[in-house]
Amino acid sequence: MRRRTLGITAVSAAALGAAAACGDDSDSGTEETSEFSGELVIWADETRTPVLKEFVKDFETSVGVKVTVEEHVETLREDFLTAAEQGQGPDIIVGAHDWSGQFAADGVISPITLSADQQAALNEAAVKAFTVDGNLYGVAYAVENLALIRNTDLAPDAPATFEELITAGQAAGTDEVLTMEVGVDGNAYSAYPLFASFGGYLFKDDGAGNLDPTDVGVDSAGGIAAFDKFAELGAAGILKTTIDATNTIPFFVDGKTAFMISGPWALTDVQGAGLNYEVTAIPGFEGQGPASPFLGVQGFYVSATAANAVFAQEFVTNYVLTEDLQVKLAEAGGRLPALTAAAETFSAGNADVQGFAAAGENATPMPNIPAMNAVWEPFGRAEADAIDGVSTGEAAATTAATSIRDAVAG
Amino acid sequence: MLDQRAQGSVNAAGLIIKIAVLAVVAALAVWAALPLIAAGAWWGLALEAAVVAVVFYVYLQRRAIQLKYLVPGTLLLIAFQILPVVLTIGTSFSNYGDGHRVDKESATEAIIAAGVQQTPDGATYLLAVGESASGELTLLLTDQADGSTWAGTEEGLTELDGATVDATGRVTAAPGYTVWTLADLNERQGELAELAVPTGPETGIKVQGLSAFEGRSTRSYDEACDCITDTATNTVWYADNETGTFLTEDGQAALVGWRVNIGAGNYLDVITDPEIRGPFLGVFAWNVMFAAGSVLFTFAIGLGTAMALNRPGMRGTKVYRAFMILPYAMPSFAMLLVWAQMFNRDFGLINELFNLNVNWYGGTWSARAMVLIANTWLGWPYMFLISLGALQALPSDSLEAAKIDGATGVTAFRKITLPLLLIALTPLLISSFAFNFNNFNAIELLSGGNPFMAGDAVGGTDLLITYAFRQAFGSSSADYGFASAISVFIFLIVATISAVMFRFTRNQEDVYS
Repeated sequence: MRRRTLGITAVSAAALGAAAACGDDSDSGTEETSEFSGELVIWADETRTPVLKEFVKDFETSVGVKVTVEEHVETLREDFLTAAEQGQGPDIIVGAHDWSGQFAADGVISPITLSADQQAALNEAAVKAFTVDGNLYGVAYAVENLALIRNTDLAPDAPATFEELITAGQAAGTDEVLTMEVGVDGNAYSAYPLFASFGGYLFKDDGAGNLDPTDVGVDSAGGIAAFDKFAELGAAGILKTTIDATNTIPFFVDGKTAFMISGPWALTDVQGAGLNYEVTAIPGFEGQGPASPFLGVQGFYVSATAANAVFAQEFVTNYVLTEDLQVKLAEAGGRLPALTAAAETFSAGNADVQGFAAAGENATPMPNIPAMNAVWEPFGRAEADAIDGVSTGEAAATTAATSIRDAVAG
Repeated sequence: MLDQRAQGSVNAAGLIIKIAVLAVVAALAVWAALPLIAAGAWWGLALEAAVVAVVFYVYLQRRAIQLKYLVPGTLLLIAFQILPVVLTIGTSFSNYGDGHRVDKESATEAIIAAGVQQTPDGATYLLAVGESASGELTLLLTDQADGSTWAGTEEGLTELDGATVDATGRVTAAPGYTVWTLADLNERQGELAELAVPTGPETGIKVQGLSAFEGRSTRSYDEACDCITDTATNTVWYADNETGTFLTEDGQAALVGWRVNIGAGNYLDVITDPEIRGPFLGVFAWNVMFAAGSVLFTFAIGLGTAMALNRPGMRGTKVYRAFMILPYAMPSFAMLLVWAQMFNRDFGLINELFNLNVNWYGGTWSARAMVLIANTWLGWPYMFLISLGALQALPSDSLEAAKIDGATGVTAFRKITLPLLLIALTPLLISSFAFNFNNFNAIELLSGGNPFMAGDAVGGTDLLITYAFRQAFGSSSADYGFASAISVFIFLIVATISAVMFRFTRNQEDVYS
């Protein structure tokens, strides 16, 4: 008897559960049809996903499309390529501008047309950065670049030239004059400002932002001069291949150096240590040009196989270009907005952002052409060889240029 | 009687488990079938059905008992071992890589889409979509410059009178038209994509999101000549179906190419490319040295510590054992990065501790010593564990017999313990060799192949696998076809070495048994 009642209760409980489940189902079902008329899928990396999740809500309510932001840790670029080449994947992907050359050549993103007004509202370099073969492929929302971060207790004045920086760094009496990421393989990204100060270039720019992959300028007169300088600074112990990604920021935070060349990502640690610091432009060498860093631009791409192309285009061309969104993204990410008006709002009263913006005034967009992939390794190694004194600056520059030309020619 | 009952209950439990497992298989099959049906992948669906049928048949029949044991392993072997090898070999015959990822149709579409340009000073519009009474799809446009409203159909643009617009200027209602809601637009955007609204001989309305602009499409594909023509620049790209590229007559490639089969081209590249052929022997020799050295050192240290801890009556062995397994228990990725940092010339722990000034990454042999040291540290706990297990399983009588015969420690070890151990451990040593032969992480995360002599493509500590990886992905762009061809070569080398070694072990077993 007892067993039987138990059985009945169990059955009715199951039935209740089933009814409840059905109730849930129908509820969410009606909710979706009444509020959302479709789904837009965005892929972003781990730092941007939480921020975007919050800001897509406005778009959801104003357009009535459900927006799903999916996080892809580490492998966003590869994941997208693999999915998109099979006609799957998201409608929109958020990523760096230097992916655009590869994505466009792989046919996985669609060109975007911005009106003249919209283009004018953006940082000019940020538009150029997403242009491939004369077409715009992405809409920028943030820019970032390297700058000189100075411990103001150890070196009160901002140096006007690199020579002044060395003198001040030595006068500070610290272990290192400067920390700048080099590493055993060299680092073309951090070396570029010094390289550019001597007039070196990677690929010839035709003036309109189109780069010629066959005109490599690593061993141009300016390029060789820069590599000779690397050798000289290496011999003097100012640049070291033993300073790499693991100790650049810690040494600065620990007061082992007065100067550090780094990006906005370093500020969290610097502020956490309670240092007095200032962000200024990287000084050029005496009698040479400005030390222009690479400009990295973050933006939104529309997939060529977007299932929801109309709303993806609407999101990218109109919603991304609102000042409000760009300021909020900047506040969460600490990067300067690509929209000029938003950049002004964001940097007002923020000395760090102004410092990075000043350092970025002469910045060159990091080349987005696929040939750029052939530059990193030879350039970095040549830098490391020159600094270690394994080869002369000229030999290093010539070797790197030859390797790059060979790789570009295939 | 009792026996029979026991048998029966086992069968009942077995039956329940069997039904549950088969139900899970069926559920998984349905779950996997739905996307296959949605994608119209009928061959995949047939294959899946066949696999499920085989599984059901094998476990529901009573005769072929052996099959019941063999089928799961065989299926997993096919899915996770044989299939990747087959796919790699397949890819090695194609030009799959950057610039050749999509099919020809998508490549053509991408090239044509890149030829759409906004007409200079052309109007931009806010977009709404409607249907006329006759059901004709119409773009209802509001000129953003002057607010005038227009209706766009396949015939062209006509002025639209009497339209109601909202605060932004977008058309919300127009006489004679049913205006789509956003939900309609979302559902029926496919129809919208097919609508072309001309505004002149070469210009038309291009929809982008909820706006539109007047643009010019300068490129078109002609099936007759299998070519794309750009009227703005007078460029003609002819499809080269051998290489999967659109080429102009003077050999300039269009931006996007497609994926084709290129036969043995990648293999010929591997064999004939002096950049690969030249350093191959040197890399191969170091590769063997690295794998053999890693096995030898880890085994020597692992066996030594295992013997030290295998003494009866020693106290605190458990604590020692726990400590020794630590390097193995920690994630090797993190450990390799820590080791890389410890070998830093100026700030690294090794140089500071021993008061050295060795540029570990700078010299070929110092870098090789470095990777062997770190790899030995990471690998010996594994050897320690398996040696300890094997030692404890050794028959004590043969050792006692040796002792009675007067064999001292060293002789007993050399003549009795080691040979007996090797019978059990040789297959593990071979698999350890094969693993280290392709130990990509150890090299990539520690030395990155360094040192590189000026301009060399291959570094002093490069293994075939790191070298192949850099050849395929490191320089200009990803080239999966080429990388697959190199992988096939590595596969053949490792397979040959393993086969020879197993032959050797078999001979050894004959000697000992």
